Amino acid sequence: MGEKGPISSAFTIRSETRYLSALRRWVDAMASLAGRSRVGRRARTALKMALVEAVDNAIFHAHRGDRTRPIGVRMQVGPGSVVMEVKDTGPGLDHQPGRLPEGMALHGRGLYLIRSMMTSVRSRKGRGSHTLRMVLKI
Amino acid sequence: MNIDVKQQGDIRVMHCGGSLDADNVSAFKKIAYDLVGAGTTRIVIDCENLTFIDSMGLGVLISLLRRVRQRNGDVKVASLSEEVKTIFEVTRLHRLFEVCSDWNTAVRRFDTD
Repeated sequence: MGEKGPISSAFTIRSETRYLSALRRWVDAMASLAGRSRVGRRARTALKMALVEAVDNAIFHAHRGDRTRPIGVRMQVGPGSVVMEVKDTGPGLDHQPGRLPEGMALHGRGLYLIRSMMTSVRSRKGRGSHTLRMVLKI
Repeated sequence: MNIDVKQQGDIRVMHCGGSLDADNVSAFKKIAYDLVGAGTTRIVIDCENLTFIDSMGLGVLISLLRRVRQRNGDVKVASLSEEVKTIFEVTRLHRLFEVCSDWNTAVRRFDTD
């Protein structure tokens, strides 16, 4: 069941870190639905990492800790790829370099991790919103 | 996350379980900084039961490392799972921290430093 067709799921959360563990379980659940042979352990690790970093970014940078602002998350597992989108109401990622910071720096690894873990990453601005689209070939 | 601190001579071993992410970095930071505040400069982070770490978790580990190195101490990490090891390697933290196979080895390594 569900081995060939795409599977998709989407929901909206508040800007709160307490959802992070649930988001990781969601990735595992989607991978199980798609079939563990399709979304293997390394892919699940990459997806969880990228999703958590994208939501961290929305909470702390885009929404600057305003818990009331919504974050939309969407995932689609297709035959050859997994697409995840994280939508916030912030200004986008223009201010973030996405490079690995020097060794002892405390911050700045989030976007680098996303880019390292995903096959492609695209940032798109809308009217009062920003969407980070992350694709992993599987 | 759960953290159990054990004493091995003047070394403190932080046995960490669960995930070290944005949701619980403050709990980790409080315990770790309290250890440093009490004079501990040799710390082992046992990651055997640590299932996940994000960039904020990495940041707090680096912050702890900076604090103890300012006091001529060190932080060693042990028993990284495959997931956490991958994240350490991608961010090159395995070059900043001495990574040991298990916490006993990390404790012994302090004695040979």
